[in-house]
Amino acid sequence: MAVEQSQDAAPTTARLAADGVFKVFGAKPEKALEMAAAGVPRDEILRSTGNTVAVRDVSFEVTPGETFVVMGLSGSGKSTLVRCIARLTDVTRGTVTINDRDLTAMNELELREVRRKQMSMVFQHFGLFPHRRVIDNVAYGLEIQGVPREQRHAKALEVLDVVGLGGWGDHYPQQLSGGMQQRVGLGRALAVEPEILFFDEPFSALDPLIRREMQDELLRLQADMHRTIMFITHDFDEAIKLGDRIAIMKDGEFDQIGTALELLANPATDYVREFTEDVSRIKVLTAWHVMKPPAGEAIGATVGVNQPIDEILVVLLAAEDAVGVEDLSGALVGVVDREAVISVLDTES
Amino acid sequence: MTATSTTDLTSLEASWMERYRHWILLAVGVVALQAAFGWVEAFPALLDNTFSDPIDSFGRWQQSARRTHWLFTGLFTPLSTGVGWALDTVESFLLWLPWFILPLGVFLAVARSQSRKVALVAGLAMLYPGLVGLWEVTIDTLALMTIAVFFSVTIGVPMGIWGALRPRAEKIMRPALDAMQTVPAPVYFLPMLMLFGIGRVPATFATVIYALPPVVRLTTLGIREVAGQAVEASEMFGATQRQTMLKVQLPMALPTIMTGVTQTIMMALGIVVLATLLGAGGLGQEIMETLSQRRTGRGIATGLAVVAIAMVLDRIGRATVVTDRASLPSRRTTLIAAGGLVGLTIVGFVTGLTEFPELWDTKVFDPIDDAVVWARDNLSWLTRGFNDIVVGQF
Repeated sequence: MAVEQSQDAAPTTARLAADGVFKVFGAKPEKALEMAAAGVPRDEILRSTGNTVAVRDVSFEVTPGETFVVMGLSGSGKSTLVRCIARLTDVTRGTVTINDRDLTAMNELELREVRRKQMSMVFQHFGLFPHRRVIDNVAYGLEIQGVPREQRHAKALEVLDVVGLGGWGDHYPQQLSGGMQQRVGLGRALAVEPEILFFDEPFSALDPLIRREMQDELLRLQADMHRTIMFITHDFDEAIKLGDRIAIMKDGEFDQIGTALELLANPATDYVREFTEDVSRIKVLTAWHVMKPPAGEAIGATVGVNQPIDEILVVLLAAEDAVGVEDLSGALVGVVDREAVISVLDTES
Repeated sequence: MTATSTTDLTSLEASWMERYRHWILLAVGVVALQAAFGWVEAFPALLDNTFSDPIDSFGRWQQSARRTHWLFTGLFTPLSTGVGWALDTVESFLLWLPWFILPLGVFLAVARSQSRKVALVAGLAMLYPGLVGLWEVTIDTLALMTIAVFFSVTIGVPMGIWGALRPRAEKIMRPALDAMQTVPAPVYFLPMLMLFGIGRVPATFATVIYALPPVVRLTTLGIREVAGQAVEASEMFGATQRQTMLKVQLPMALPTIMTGVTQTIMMALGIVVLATLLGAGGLGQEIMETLSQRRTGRGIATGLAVVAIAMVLDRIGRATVVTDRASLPSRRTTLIAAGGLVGLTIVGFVTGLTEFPELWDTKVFDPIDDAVVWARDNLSWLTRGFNDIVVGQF
């Protein structure tokens, strides 16, 4: 996320990678798979074989600490994709690797071990356990690992504080509002300290105000915890706000992968353009989208790393020089000058 | 274009033949059999005694083998003894308690999660059989219900889990469960008698067979209904199948399972009278007797006792299904209530109030008997005419 993006050093290894992933639903997928690989449209494959191609030849890499957002509308296969990557369903073809280990080839025992130690998921409808108190929901992953009660409760209390639910541990999930329930879901995922977090449209069941609040919360948390995140959404604004890189998915395929700026500047297909067209760049793009690494230039004023361009514009106009960009802890992480902002305004028209 | 439509037509005709192929074969087969064997007059009883003969001969065999064969000495007889012991223990425990403990306990158990009013009605229902002098026979039936329901649940819940995990197992179980409910109960009374002799033990097992299906079905249903995301969340934490079942699926399915248990209880009470044929005793026996003596009033009194027991067990069953966990009384309150019951038990023994006081008995219902007799004697002009119409016309 914002603060974590290193703009100069190229990542060395991928934490999470998918290579040529296909997912075909229905019995006897072989023929449908061949047709899908040959590029036959989905409808035609469905008509002639009865199989649904949900994911078609998807490949990507996510580097440590990166937030990778997959954005698509309903039916685009994005949820199926994240389920394949987490191996909640098996891929029909292709491989998924986590820290260079092939997840698709693991047996049940190895898979359990990886899930216990390395990954967690936050679900769209929270997937909480209504018969367990909030604290026992959060401690669930540790309980599964056999961590003693006292220890896991101590950890759960700590995590509840982090997600802003201090003091709610003894309540039951249904006593909490939707936003708070998803905080429980988030806390439950964080309690096991996973390297990789999967988010399957975690905020789409919440109302807009709460959704924005949760997005900010996630940005704030990620600034400290540096997890590797795969985030599924149908909301393009959310994708721009959270994603270091964004993949636009349509009919089971990736249309384009790129940073928010790249997508806005050069939409690869008409489909991607449809999304970027309506976006108000100066509202959704923030300082970290356009900043350069600081190189000792004179700085007139500072802005927050997550401040949108339209706010920075005012500061820039008042300041003589470029403005500095500070992260949440107040450290200087970048510089925004007038050219950068003008180039954004340029693509707006 | 023309070529395609022609092929379409031929394939359409072919598919018509294809579709009715089985029926055509069947019709041809029937005609052929008819011609060959001339089975026209009566249904060919090919299987006549194929099923019944072995069972009949087993019945004869078991009479001599009962004391010697390992099947009886090693399995059925000990099983019978064990269940008989359990029945006796439960019954004598319930009778040993001071009489007011049971209605009070029912009240508290229901009041834990339901309104006071519902709990009060349940408590009074538990009191009713004692008031009409049917306390001991009711306890007799209650003990049989308890043991039968205990067996139904310990067998039924694992079966239901199995069915939920293995769809194929469920496919096999479903017709078996249907059969258990639709085969008239007296049909399997006889095998029960062969295996366990006469008395309350075969009655218990017959009740279990009859009452088992709902708890199995609703356990399967309950587990299937658990939100997929909760199960996936558990899997994503690396839970084993057993962990997910015990920590997520079963607890979340509990309300549905308890509905099944309640239905099982109702089914069990439903054959309480029939089970008298096996020597179950209790309320069923009482009803049979009053009916044969044409004591309508006492019959009604006893029937109401069955209803009261059904109500009590149903309310307790429902009270265990807690939808709003936050509204439950604290652990402290629960402990105080339990402690109070123990204390009152001691008080009961100290003061000697252990047996149900004989206030009334079924005699309070004698006016109904009199009314029935009076109606028979004085309203014959009305009932006779009605009878004639019904018998004459239909």
